[in-house]
Amino acid sequence: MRKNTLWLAVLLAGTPALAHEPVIPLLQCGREGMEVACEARWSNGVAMPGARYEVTDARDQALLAGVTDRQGRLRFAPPQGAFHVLVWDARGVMAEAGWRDVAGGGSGRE
Amino acid sequence: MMPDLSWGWHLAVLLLGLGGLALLALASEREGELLLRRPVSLAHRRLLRGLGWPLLAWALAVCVGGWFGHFGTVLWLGWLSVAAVALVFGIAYVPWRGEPAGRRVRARETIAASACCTSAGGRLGLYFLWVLLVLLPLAFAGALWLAPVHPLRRADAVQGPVGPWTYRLAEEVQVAPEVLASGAAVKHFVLQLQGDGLAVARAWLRVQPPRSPRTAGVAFEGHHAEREAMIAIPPSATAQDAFWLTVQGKDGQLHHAEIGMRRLSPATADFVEGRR
Repeated sequence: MRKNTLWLAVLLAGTPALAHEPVIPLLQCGREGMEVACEARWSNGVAMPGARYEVTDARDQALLAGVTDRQGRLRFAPPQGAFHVLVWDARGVMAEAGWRDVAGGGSGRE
Repeated sequence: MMPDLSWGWHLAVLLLGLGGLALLALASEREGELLLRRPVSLAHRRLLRGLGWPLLAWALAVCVGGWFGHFGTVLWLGWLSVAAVALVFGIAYVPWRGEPAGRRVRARETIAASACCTSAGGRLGLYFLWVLLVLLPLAFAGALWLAPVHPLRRADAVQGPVGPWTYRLAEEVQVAPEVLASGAAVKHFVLQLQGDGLAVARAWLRVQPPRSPRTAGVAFEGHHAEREAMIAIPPSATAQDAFWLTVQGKDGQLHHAEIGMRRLSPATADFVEGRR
């Protein structure tokens, strides 16, 4: 009986099921000297290496493209005018940062 | 997310489960004789079994109808467990009522000896088990009572047309966006598209208007009755910005709906204002 009670107590003390939380890609950009440096990470904090990215103008026309480095980083010289950085994870889910989202001020002018 | 139905649904499932299990208990040779205090004929046992199983199936049908197949099955099993525990202890004690004291004592002695509960530790364990058995259903019922209202059933859920469908959109919890360790702010939303659900290809949500189909935002996941998405709140967002819902039909057409930030999520509007 004591053993059964102990088992029951162990079962009841078990942690509850973990809640389902979606993981989405996130992009954060900041000004570093004359360049814009961005870091692509999933919402769980893991870096996104090798993720495809594009820098586009206000009409969504690609200005330059590439893949993020091993730390999920990318950097580029900001184009004249408004720009947006788009990055996709392997599932095709996109994260985005506009020139107004660049910490320290994006250099793009509308 | 699990549909939030009234307590009457839970009570109906519990009573149906209790009834079904009680009939099945009566249909069994040993418990039937114990409860009815006479041998149960084969024909009666068949009849009781024939009534008991449909009641359990009915309880399952209520669960699946109310909470869908996934949540419903789990709830059915949960309430059946509660009913089974109640029934097992009910059967163990009900027949002793009104019996001569000597017989009751003898029966208890037999159980005590067979269950090795003669030692003080064993007795303590038994009492502990009893307390748990009483507290568990109470805790379960309390948790159900305190469970939050489903976001799509709350009064703050926003409803409107998007193409041939009617959307119902709500923030999952009415709090400011969650700020992650990286500093990014994210917010969780729940969407329901009413109308021809099979004609929906995908739905996306974002803050600020999409510039092209590929910048429609983060796609919702889930089925037509309930889709969920977590979106990033951009640093440049202001309280005057809007959430943009994009729904693509299977015919390839895109439909947009603009919902003011303060209308859909006042907490997000306050958050972005406070950030400035």
